[in-house]
Amino acid sequence: MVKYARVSLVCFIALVVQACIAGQIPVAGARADVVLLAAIAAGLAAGPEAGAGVGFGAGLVLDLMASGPVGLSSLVYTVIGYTVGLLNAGVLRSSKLIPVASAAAASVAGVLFYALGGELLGQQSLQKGNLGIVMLVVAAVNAVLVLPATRMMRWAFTEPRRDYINPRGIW
Amino acid sequence: MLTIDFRNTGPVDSARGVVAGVFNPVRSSASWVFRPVGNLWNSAFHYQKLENQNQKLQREVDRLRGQSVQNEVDQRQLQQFLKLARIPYLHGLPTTVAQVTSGPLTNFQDTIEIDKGAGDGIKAGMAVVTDAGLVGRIADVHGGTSTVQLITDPELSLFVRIQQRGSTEMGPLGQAHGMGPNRPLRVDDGILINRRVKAGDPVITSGIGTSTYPGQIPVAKVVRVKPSADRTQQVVDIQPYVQFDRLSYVKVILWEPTP
Repeated sequence: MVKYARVSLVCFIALVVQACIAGQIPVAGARADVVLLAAIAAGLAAGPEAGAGVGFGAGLVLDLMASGPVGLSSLVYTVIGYTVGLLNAGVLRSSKLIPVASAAAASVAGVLFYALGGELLGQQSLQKGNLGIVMLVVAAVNAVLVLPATRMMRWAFTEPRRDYINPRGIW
Repeated sequence: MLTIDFRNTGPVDSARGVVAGVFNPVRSSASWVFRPVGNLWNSAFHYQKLENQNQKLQREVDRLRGQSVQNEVDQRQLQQFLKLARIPYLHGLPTTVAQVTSGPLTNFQDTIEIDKGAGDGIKAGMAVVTDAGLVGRIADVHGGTSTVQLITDPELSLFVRIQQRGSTEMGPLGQAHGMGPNRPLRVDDGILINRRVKAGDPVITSGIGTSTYPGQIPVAKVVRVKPSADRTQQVVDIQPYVQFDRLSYVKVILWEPTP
C-alpha cells in the first residue's frame, strides 16, 4: 500500500514538473519530457511491469491534461517503460553508463514513436516542431536526469520494512 | 482509449474535466512558484527587472504594431467592408483579459492555458488575440481555465484576406493553416496566380461566411510568395504578428459567429 502511495507521489511530481518547469523552459524550441523519464526510470529501477505501469498511468494523466489524442502518450510510454525494463533485466554487467545510454536511446525511440503515432491519428505531429531537435533535447535531458530519477523510483517501488517493537521486550 | 477519443464518444471529456479540476490549481500554484526558474533560465541577472521591463516593452510594441496594421486596414477599407460585407468590427466586440498560466505541455502541442473559463463567458471556438493580432481559438473550456489552440497548429485553418498596400480594394481571400511552432503560416488555397501579392502585405481575418473569427483581426504579414505546383494559384507564407513564446496576457473575444 505504501509502495503504491509512493509511486503515485513520484508520478504526480513528474507531472507537475512537466507542466510547470519542463514545459515552460524550451531549449532550442524543444521541451524535456519528464513523464517519459519517469517510465524509463521505473523500468530501470523495478523491471518491465513497473515501467509499463508508470508509463501507462502517468501517460494517461498527461494525455488528459494536454489537448492531444487521449491514450497516445499512455501507449508510447507503456511500451518504452516495458522495453527498457526488459532489456535492463538482461544486462549482466553493472555500469552507470548503461542506464544513461538506455535513457538516451529510449527517449529517441519514444519521441519518434509518439510522432509517428500522432501522424497516423491525423495529428500532423511530424510537422509540429523540429523532430531532430526534440529527440536530441529529450535524450540529453533524460540521460542527465536518469540516475537520480532511477534512485527515486527505486525508493518508490521498495516496500518499507516493518520492524515491530515490543515495548515490554517480552514475546 | 484512442478509438474512443478518436470517435469523440465516451467519457473522455468528463475525465479531462476531472483531471483539469485536480491539476489546474496545482499547476497555477506551481507555475507561480517556479516562474522565477524560467525567468532565471532566460536571463541570468536582474531577471525580474528585465522581465517586467520586457513585458512592458512587449506590450507597447504589440500595441503599436497592431495599431499600425489596424489603422492601415481601417482607413482604407472600413467603410467598404462594413457596407458591402457586413463584417463585424473588432472594436465593438466585448472582450475579457486572461493571463497565460502555462505554455505547451509537450513537444507536439500548439496550445497554451489561460486563467479564464466557462464562468467568464468563454466558449469553445472563440477567438483569442493580443494587441498585435490573432493568437488562436479556444479549444477546450473548463470551469476556471481554458485551452487555446494557437494559429501555428497545423490542424487549425482560417480564412484570411491579403491586403494590398496602397489599394482600397479588398484583397484576395485564401485559406491559411499553421505549419508548427516557430514557423510561418501558409496560405495555399484561394490566391489565384494573377492576384498581386508581395512581401510585407498585411494579412487579416476575413470574417466572411462561416468563419469562426470576427473580421479585420491582424494575423500576419506576407514573407514569401511562390506559385503552386500546378501554377494556377500562389502559395503564400505569412509570419504571425504575435510572438507566441512571449505571451503573458491575451484577450478572448466574447463573440460567436451567427449560425
